[in-house]
Amino acid sequence: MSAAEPDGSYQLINPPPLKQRVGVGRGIDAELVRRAKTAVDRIRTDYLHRVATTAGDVTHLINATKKPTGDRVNTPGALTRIFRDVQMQAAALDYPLVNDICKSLCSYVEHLDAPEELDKIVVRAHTDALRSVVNNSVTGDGGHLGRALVKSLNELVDKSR
Amino acid sequence: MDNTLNKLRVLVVDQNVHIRQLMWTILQSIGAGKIDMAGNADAGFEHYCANDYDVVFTDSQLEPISGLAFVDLIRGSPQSPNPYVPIIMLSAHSDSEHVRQARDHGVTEFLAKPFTVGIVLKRLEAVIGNPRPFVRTDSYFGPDRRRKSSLDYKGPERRKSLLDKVRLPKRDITKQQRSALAKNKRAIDGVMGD
Repeated sequence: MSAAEPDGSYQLINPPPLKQRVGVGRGIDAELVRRAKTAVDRIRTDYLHRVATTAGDVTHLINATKKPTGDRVNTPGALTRIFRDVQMQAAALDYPLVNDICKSLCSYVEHLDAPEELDKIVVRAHTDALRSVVNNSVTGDGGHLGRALVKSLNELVDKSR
Repeated sequence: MDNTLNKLRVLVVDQNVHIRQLMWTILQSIGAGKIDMAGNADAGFEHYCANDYDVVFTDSQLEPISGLAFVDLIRGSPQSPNPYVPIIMLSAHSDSEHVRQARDHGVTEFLAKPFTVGIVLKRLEAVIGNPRPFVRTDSYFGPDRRRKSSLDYKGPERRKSLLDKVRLPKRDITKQQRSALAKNKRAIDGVMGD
């Protein structure tokens, strides 16, 4: 490790280069990226099952929650955690439509002024959308129908604010 | 020659089991020689102190301390075996304030969640292939935060030369504004050591 002379009030340090120690062959090239994508593809099936389970969990959560004011529930924190959890892997596993659906719901929940404002209808629309993706094994952005679905969810969220 | 990174030793600290599974799958597929996983900051630092890692991936939201506090431990704790390790922060919060905070705590690269396989490998390639020197000042220790260098740079007065280029035409400003600008320029020159 080479430590340069202090210049004024700072010191520059050059740690040993990682490439020399860990690098074999060409480094991270297109072949390694392809290999990683193939490996990730193998966990996609499990992921779809998990999305389906999540949709069921959310429905159960909403039904089990006491309704303080009519048709509204008080579980925004739990919902955000559940949807964020699903969203995290969506992009890597090539389910951008799942990502967009979760993002829409999380955005809705995060902008609520009070937990009581959470509208069950908005949540149901998002869980139904997730079920639809799973049942039809929709990958990518879902094409025209997928984009229309996300647009309608966003509109529903806007109306509910 | 088979292209793998079989000497690469990586630690991944993330509370989300699915993210850990995803990261493990990606790293294993590219041939990383050692991949350790931890679900919280305590276990993560325990792993870090007991092993020698080349790269650390950490989430920004950890328990019982935050991801930034975990970075502080790696960079500044006397127990830390290697304060220079490249740290790639995974975060669901990618606004400029969070990125700035991460940078100021000594994070090497920032990876916004949700991420794609390609982006993970791009960040990994960045820390392996394009290492940055470390800087130690009274208030900061970590990778050099300057990533870009100006093509116009000819000497020590880079900022001053840029300031000189930004001159409004005299007709567009009032005498009062010109006076204020000149005053500001003198103040900046003073700070920058004109």
